[in-house]
Amino acid sequence: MDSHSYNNETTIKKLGFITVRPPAHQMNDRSIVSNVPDLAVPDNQITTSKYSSIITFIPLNLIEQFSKLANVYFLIIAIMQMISTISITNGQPVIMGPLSIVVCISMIKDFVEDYQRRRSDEAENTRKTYLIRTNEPPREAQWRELRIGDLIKVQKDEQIPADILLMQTSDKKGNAFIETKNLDGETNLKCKNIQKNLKQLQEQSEDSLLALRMTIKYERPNPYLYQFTGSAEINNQQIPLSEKNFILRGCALRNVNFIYGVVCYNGHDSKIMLNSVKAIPKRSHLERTMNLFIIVIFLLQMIMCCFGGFLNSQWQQIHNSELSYLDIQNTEPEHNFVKNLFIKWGNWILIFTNFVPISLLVSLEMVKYFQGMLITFDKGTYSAEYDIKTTVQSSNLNEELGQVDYIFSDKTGTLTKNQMDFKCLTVNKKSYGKEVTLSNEEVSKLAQVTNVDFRDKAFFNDLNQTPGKGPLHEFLLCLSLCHTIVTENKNGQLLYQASSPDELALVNFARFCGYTFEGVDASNSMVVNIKGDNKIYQLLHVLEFNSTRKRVSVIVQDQQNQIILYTKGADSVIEPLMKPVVPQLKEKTWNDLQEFASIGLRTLLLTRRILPLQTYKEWEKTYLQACSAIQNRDNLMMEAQAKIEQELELIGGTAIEDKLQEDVGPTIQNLKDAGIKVWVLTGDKIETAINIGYSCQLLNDTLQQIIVDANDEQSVNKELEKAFQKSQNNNKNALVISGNALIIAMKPEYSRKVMEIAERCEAVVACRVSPKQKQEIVQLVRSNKPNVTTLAIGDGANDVNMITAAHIGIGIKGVEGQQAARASDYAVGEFRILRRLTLYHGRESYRKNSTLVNYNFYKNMLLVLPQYWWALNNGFSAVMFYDQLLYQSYNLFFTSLPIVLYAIFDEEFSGDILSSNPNLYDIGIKHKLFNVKIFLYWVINGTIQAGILSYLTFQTYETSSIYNGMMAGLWTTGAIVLGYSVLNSNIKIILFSNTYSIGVIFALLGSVLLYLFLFFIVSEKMPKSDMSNSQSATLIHLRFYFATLLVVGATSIFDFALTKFAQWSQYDQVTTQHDKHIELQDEQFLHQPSPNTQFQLNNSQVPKSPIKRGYTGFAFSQEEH
Amino acid sequence: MNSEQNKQLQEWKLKYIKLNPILLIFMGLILIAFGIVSQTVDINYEYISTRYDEICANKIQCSITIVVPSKMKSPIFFSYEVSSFFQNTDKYFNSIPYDLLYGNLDFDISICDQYKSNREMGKIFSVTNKTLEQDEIAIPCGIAAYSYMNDEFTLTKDGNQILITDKGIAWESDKEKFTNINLDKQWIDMESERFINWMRPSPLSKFRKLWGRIDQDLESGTYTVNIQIKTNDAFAETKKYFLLHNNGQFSDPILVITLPCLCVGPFLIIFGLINMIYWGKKQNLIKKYRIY
Repeated sequence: MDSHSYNNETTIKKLGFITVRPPAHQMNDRSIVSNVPDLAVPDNQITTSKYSSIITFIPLNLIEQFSKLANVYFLIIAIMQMISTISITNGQPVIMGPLSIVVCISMIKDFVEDYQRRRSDEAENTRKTYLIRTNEPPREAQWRELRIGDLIKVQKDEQIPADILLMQTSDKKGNAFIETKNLDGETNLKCKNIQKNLKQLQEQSEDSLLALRMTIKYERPNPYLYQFTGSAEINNQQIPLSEKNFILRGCALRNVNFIYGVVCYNGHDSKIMLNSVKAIPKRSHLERTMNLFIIVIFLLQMIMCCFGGFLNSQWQQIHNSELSYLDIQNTEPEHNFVKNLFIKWGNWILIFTNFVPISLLVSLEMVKYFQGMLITFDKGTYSAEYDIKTTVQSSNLNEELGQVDYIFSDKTGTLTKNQMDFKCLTVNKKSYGKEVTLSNEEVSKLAQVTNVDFRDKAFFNDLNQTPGKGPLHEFLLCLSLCHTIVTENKNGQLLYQASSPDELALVNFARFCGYTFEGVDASNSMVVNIKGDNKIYQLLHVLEFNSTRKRVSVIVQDQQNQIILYTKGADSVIEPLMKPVVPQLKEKTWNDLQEFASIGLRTLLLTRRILPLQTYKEWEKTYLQACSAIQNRDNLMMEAQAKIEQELELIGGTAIEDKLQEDVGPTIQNLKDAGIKVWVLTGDKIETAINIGYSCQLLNDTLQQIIVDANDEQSVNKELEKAFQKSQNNNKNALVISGNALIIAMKPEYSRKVMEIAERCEAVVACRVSPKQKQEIVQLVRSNKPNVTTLAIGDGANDVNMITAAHIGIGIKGVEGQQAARASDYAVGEFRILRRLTLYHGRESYRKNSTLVNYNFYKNMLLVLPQYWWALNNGFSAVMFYDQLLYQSYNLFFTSLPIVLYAIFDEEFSGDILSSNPNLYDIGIKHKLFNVKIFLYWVINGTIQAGILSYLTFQTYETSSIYNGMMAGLWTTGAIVLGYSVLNSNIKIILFSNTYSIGVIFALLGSVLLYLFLFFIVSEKMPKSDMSNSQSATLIHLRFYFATLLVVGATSIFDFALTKFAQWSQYDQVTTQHDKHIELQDEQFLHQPSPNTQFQLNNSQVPKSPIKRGYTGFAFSQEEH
Repeated sequence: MNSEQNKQLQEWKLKYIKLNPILLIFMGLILIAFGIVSQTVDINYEYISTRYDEICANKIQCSITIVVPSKMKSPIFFSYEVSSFFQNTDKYFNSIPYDLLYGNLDFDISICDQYKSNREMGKIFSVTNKTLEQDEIAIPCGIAAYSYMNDEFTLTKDGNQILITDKGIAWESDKEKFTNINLDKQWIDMESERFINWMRPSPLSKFRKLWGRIDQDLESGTYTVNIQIKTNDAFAETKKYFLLHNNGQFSDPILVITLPCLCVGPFLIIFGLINMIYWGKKQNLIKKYRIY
């Protein structure tokens, strides 16, 4: 067959030599014939590296390097240095020296990163798989060779090399179990199977599989992990294919010896590749401000240079008569005011080259990288419980962590452990689980299960009264049948693999009570062991959970051929589908559920329906049709499913406890004390959310609760108005808003009001929000308050939007998978680590990086401005008195290392102090260390110090002879000025350091010694140099050392005085605030009712929140796929 | 990171070192001490400065009497000082043809600007009193050479001339580099140390150059300085001084170093002490919060 006949690719654009494939969503739907590789579609090779080879690396990376503004600036300077009329370096582009070093460092960093990526690509591409192709003997092939349409065989525990359609498995039932850890981080096994109508392939040999020609039509490549629609045509029969028959690249095969499959998507079209998002580089507030300051400094430079040029022109006009020896003729530029101004302007710009610090970006990058490493190494950010280290994925946000104004937190898995324990139930007007009456001995006799915290003897007494029948029997039967759990036998032990922890708790509770779900047998029957007696239920259909349906149903046929539908789900969803119930029963059940919900438990309603055979048969027909639909299948299926889930009978209700993570309460308390506004965004209903809010100290009785919950625009508007009034009258508020109200409140006309209310609230809880809404909330805050820093923390795939939308995204590596962690900037193990991350690492990084940036400006002032001050002596005639080699080394060698070491190792307070003293955090939120004022302070400080330095040095060295009546001269004194600049900028580090690490001290000494060494080389070993013998002439005299002391003393005197006083007055504040804080905490411990972290069903302890009727419902922890 | 590594990292930080107050007080003490010492060490320092450009205006030769108040010990230095003269402008010091000065005729002539040939330089006779070709390149050429300050001084006491030598007054490194090419074609001896000193640009507009040294003690009394004015129009607007001084250990005009030292020193000590007291007061805080 002609390989181009499929038309799987749309036209390939050609841009010069590079061919560009269209984006996945613009491709055609696919159609392949099995075992006929489609050569028009690229092979299975993947490249994640940016650069394909070293030859393209250099030009492409150079382009990238020079897209940075600072580098362009220095390139322009280099060009200016080559223009002879303004050059002060004889036309030599000397700035290229430091510039090329800086660019090289960046390039090496990029290269190493890219090389690592290429290595991992190569390792991935050369992995082996078993390829069976027509006209070729079956062989071990490399992954990269695979084409769509190829037949491959994958052995147990191997990884799947491409997205394949299952053709044959070694399992008799046609099942294949896969682990999707690489894709979504979930460790439980998922079951995939061969399409029922393709089961005949199971018996065929490899050769006949190879000979098979089956046309498969399916969608164009798309990134949806849990979606696959297609159809196969075999013997003129259309067979629907679904996600169930389809295995993704990156999964690992488990529990099955081998499978055969046909490659459907390969290479960059595979789902895992389409899901790998390129992270958009985020930049911190400090960096943005810094860039602004660089521009300001650049403008300042231009103005100062222009001013210098102007002054020189002026001076020339006045002094030309005196300067007859210069013999300036009227034709020369010095006589032309404007022309001279421009030439001198150019000269001054070249002298001021280093005004914009060349090493700033590189040293900041380096520092942040190492700070990131320290975050990872820090014991305080290590989660011992889960053995997870904090990983830093974009270290350029370190200091942003110190400036967080808003935290948006997910609830499930973030504040809570995502570990569900079965707690309570209500069946037939009776609720169980409130009392602890079973002794440990009695519990040990029961089945040993996890996720159950139930000690009510009354339940077992009632259960044993009517064995095998009655409402409790029905209840347990429903629990053990209505779920999607997969069983696994490990060393004779029965293990459950659940996609939702709720289900695990429920099935385990049934097992706890002697109703053990044994698994699904070969004939697709569910086996339930009821107290040693195996009952078999033929599994007919599973109507799976999704977030629209919010319910799960199974249809089973029992041994009496009775067909039963079991449905469990949120009460609000189930209620309209139910048959009318006895009012008392309903009231009691609803009351119980309300009570459970009010203490933070997740509630769930269990129902069933006995289906007449006729009804079932009719329904099944339409359902199967919907299942095989190619277009709009999901909606059709949902419609069909809704048809059967009617007239449900009530069985009972359950309540599951969602366990809080360790230290969540104190962490939130500390973050709030630090002035951070904490918003919790959850999918839970209002009561659950409020109660979780109480138990994690987000809400307390001192806060006035404002609840906004309505479904239509008018009432939302009214409630918002009311809420606004309420918030104006009180300073301590907490806003609780529901998802439905939020949809309306998000509209531009209301959003301002919402923000105004939220502004006056310490805490905000948003309930019943969808992933998209979470993102919208973050964006709402960002767009209404462009200057604040937002942080989003979450653990699940549903938080990814929010994480990427916020300034800083923090992912929790946990039970719900790696997707959030992968999209995040920092991945942590537990919520409590957030405290140390922000209050300690963030604050310290902010403090140190601010200093680093300011210092970099300052030290260049100290370098450049002595020349400007000195120019008062020569009418600003644009003279540079430094040796070029020494001058260019200043930023590279003499002043670079100490500040980097300072910014890595300095510590104002220890980590424990900072993470328990939230009031020390306010420097970041209030932008105290990096703002125009501080920046000006440094700039002016640098300017004045440069003046003092310049004046004193020239006075001591030039108004008198250095020895034997000899004079020093321009170059020698210039070198000494430079030496003092080096010394001063290094001493400055001692001034603002809090800890003196050996590294910093050695680096300081080293920097000064390095200067002396280079000075020595230039002055003693380079006889041609202008300043030869300068060192030996100056350093042997006492004058040099005393002048050093004088200069350092005179320049640092204000620094010494001011910096330390400022710091200590700050500590004064700290003590008082700290003591107050401790007192306050003690008071709170005394007066506040203990948070509901313990399960106590004492109603008086339940916070009296105005909970209205009708909210009870259930939130599955399972996420929408 | 395990606990061992963590400990190492902690040890790497030298905690509780309070450098600042100690450093401050130490520096202050040294500065004050130095201020005092600089006064006492240079007690024998003598410095006599006399302006002569006004007195000798429009004259080729003139003499000025000076008074040496007390005995000056050798070595005594004879310098001249000019003010409002700009050796520090870019145009000026870019016009020094170092290659030529170092004995290499193969150099970039454009450096010399408008002072290239002997005519432009206004030089007629060579060092050896031969006539110079007017159109040939002047050796040396350039603005700096053109504006060479070549006034000559003699010192006499009671009619006896006191020898002022021009040996050992320039930097050794400069002396090694400056090389004559052909004295018959040069208008000046480029190895002359006075010339070498002039060619070393000064950064200030008022500057001093060493002209010679007197290797004998000068008794107190009245001396006469005879000045031969040879400078050209470059010095028309310039104040000129000659000075007689001996070797100060630290500085010549004493105020330049001593005064700032005495001003800055006490400040440093005061700040140091305040810091110290403050620090002492905060001891509890320091223990509590581990503020270093």
